[in-house]
Amino acid sequence: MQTFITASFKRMGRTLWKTLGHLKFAVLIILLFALCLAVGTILESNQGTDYANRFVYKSFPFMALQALIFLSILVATLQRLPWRKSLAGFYVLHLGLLTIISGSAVTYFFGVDGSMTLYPKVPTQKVDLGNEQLKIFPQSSVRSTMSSSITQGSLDLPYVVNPTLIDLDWSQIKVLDFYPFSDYAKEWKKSDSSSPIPSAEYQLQNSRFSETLTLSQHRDSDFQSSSTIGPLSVHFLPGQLFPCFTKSSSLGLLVWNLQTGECIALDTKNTSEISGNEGKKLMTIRSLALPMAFSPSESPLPWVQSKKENKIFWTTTEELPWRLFNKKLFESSPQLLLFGEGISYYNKNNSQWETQQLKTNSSWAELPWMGFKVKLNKLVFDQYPVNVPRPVKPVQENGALISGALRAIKLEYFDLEAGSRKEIWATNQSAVKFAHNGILWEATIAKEQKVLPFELRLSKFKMDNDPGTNNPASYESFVALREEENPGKHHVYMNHPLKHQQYTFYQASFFQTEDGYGSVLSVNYDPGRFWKYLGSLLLVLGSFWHFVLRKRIVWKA
Amino acid sequence: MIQIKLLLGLLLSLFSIKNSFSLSTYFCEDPILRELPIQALGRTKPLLVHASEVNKFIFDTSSLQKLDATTVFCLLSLQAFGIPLELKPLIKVDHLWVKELLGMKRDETGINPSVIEEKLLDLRMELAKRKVNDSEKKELNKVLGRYQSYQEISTGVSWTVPKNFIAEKNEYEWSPLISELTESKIIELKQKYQIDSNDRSAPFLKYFTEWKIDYDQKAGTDYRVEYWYFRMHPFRYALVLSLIALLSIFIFKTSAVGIVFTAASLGLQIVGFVLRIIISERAPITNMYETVIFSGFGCLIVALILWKMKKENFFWIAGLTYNILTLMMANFANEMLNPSIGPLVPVLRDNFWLSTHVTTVILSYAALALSWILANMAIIKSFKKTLDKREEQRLTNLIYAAMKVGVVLLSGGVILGGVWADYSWGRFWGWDPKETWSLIVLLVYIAILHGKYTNWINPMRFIPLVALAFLSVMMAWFGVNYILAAGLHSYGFSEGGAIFLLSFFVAQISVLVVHTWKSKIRI
Repeated sequence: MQTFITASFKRMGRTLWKTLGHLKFAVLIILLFALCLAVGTILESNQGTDYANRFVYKSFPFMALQALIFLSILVATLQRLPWRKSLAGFYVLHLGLLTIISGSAVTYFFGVDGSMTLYPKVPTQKVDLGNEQLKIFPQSSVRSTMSSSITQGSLDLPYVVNPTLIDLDWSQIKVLDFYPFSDYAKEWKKSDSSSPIPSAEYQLQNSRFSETLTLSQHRDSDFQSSSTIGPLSVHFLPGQLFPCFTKSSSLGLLVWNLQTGECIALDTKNTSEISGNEGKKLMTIRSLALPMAFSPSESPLPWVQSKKENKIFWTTTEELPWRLFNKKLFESSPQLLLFGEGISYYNKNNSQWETQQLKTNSSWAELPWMGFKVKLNKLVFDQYPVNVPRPVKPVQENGALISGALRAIKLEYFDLEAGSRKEIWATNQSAVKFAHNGILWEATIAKEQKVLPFELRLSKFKMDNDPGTNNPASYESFVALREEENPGKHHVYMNHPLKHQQYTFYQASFFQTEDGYGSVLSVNYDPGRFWKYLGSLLLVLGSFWHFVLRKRIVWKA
Repeated sequence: MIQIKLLLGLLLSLFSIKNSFSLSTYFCEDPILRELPIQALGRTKPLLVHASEVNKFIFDTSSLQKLDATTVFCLLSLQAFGIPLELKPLIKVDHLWVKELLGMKRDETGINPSVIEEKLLDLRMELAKRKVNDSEKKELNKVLGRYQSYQEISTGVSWTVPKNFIAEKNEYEWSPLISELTESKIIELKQKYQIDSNDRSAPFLKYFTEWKIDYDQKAGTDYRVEYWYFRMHPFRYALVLSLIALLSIFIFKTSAVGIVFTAASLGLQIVGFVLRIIISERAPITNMYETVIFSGFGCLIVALILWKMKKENFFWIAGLTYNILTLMMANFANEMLNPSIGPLVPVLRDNFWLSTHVTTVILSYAALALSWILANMAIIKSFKKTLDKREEQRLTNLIYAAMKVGVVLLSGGVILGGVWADYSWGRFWGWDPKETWSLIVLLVYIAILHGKYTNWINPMRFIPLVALAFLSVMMAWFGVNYILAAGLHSYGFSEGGAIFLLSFFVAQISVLVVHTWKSKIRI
């Protein structure tokens, strides 16, 4: 029995040996490799470098294919031993290939390939490496009250193209879905608040242009209550104000109550003038028996009398719920005021304030600017719009990602105040803060960092343009190197890297800050370099020997 | 400022030299203008070259209404001084949708700039509306780009004047003509040279002469090499010589005539390259125009060497054929292959690596092109039924010889590229589309070389496979720039190339399909 198994293993081994070294096998994997590369370049062009790297170049199957090529070359070479003089070129050539692949593997596993961001005059030791991590850490000092089990730290994110469920528990914070490529998408979320807060979606269009406007007054919404579209400004205001806009007001002024929504249109009849500080004119409202006055040209806040050192004078206050609305401020440029189901605007053509009523999803209201019209799509009081990451296939145009640049990961934490578990998204764009178990935490997706044993400081960044144009001709960084031994000043520019210890620094990119230009250097440590160069030399010599010097045996059909 | 403009306008408009086509040309036809040094797109060049390039870009022709490029450019620029334009320039529009948008008829090829000016807001809105960068948006952008260049000329900004010489930098500070050519300057010149006030052209010409002499003294006359190069058209005459050489191989019994013309063509191409090297101060292989011509030149050289070694006329014929094809492209496909010399992107500014890596790669493409021409010659022979087994064998060996040279050069070129990348970016290989495609080319040819030792590839299949494999070269060479257009090597991007590449692919594949079917090759 045992001999049978050994025999069949031997047979299998022999078949494998024969197949791996076979020329047809070589042709097949060479073509397969070429096909993968072609797919990779097309993906890179349409979906960006990162996507192509994750899908092809740095994916496991592609690595395996490269290993297979290595094996095939190795076996094919071994099969042609012992040494034959006629095959000398062949040996050198294929040995060169094996050396290059080995050298690349050494670089891949033991090398450092990162980048260093230098802000002007700020010393740094940190190098951003290629792989990304989820970084979670508690922010507040309350840390001591909690058990020592809280570990701040980082989690390596999987190098994938598709959304992946990580499902990991981290100090009772659950790490859930990871989207390597996503965009923010609008979602309507249920409001926690007991009072109704309006949020709405409008459609604004003319013959050439159409846009959906999402506006909200909710504090937690990712959408604002105002927006601008070219020269047009849009404001989403409380619905209680609308009745006032239907009334005419000779002064163009309204006063309204934030709490009750009561509003009064002001004119000369229901107001009177009094004098405030240093004889400044203030306006009081007769129908309101409140010690309150307004200054239309200065502030929407009410003025009240107060006493200081036995002197009576007027100050503004935020404590009273009344606010002034000055329509005159909205007359000089196109301004559209939206009140949910009502709209108002100043029509320059007839110098009048006009109002119109809208019903959800019914009619269009014509506006007096460039044939624009507006429609109400949605009006809600118990929901508010938020931006939530949605996985997408990235799209690249003109060398930059126009979609899918957002990397996001869903976290689930325990909100002590609300007494329930809540979801939050950590992204690569900005750090999110959340109160988990009563402690403030911060989470972000960022590159893994390596700390160098010395530091670099950018003393100057210089950019030269081609004469008379804005096309850059050269980027140059002047850096100071600080360490115990051999501190020094260095000049890093295109084709002139800085070599220090095992690392090499290359000028890669630049950015603008308030204090001038910052610079990005790529940082590289390549332990496989020697082998790659040696292999290249062997490959060139070998192929020259094999194809040019060798007496060719004339090929017969 | 406005006053100065008006007065200058008056100064000029009072006199007018009507040329034979009854257009006032003022001083614009004076030959001194053509050689004036000006600065454009980051380089100093003669006005004639700049004028021809921008005119061609905007109007599709460098001369208009029988006036030469410089005169047209000058007349357009004079609008900035308030002199009305008598020319009727039409900005090139070739896309049907853009024509419709501008209210043009289908057969019209150009549009009056004032029409674009009127509709500018609408056109910008149209651009803003289109979120996706489709061909319509690109075409509209192109027309707006032409209009913008037109605006730059007609506002006097495109025409630059050397203002102050900065000795420590050894270069001039440049300023637009509109801000330098002032009325006081003209009056000053009039007094200085005591010009009769009836001769209104003279002070302007004196101004230009002074500027040219001053520039020549301080910054040298190197820019004039480009003027002579531009007027010489070495690659145009090289095409004629190569054509004669090819014809004489078939006409004359002896090869002497053909050799003379081949040598003359090569000599002229070398002159062209040397002039471009002097002008640009770098190896003449930095854009599509240059690499195409260089590959044709390199192919002919490789072919002649192989011809000497193997005594096979096929090499000579194939080399000349490819040389002619590349020179035709260089001369007639200028929308795709831009002949103008511009500054390089910073990464490529290293003459040593540029001349070693790029030259090796282009030479390898040249050798592979030779194998491609030979393969197609064999296919054409089989169509004409003049390809017997012996002939097939013979051609196969020739193709194989050219291919080997190509593969060895390409592997060297790819490795040199890796070494350069390692030297200037710190990485040997980065899966950049250009380097990846050059590796794909290498893999494709290596697959054929390996397959040749198996029973998969016999001569019958070898010939069409080599013809097919050249498509990978075209993809790496043109396709990456014209179709993929992403990555660090995107120095040759321009439109029209995609259409050319597609036609090339379709043509070659059709030939191969017909061939496979006719000669009953079993796939």
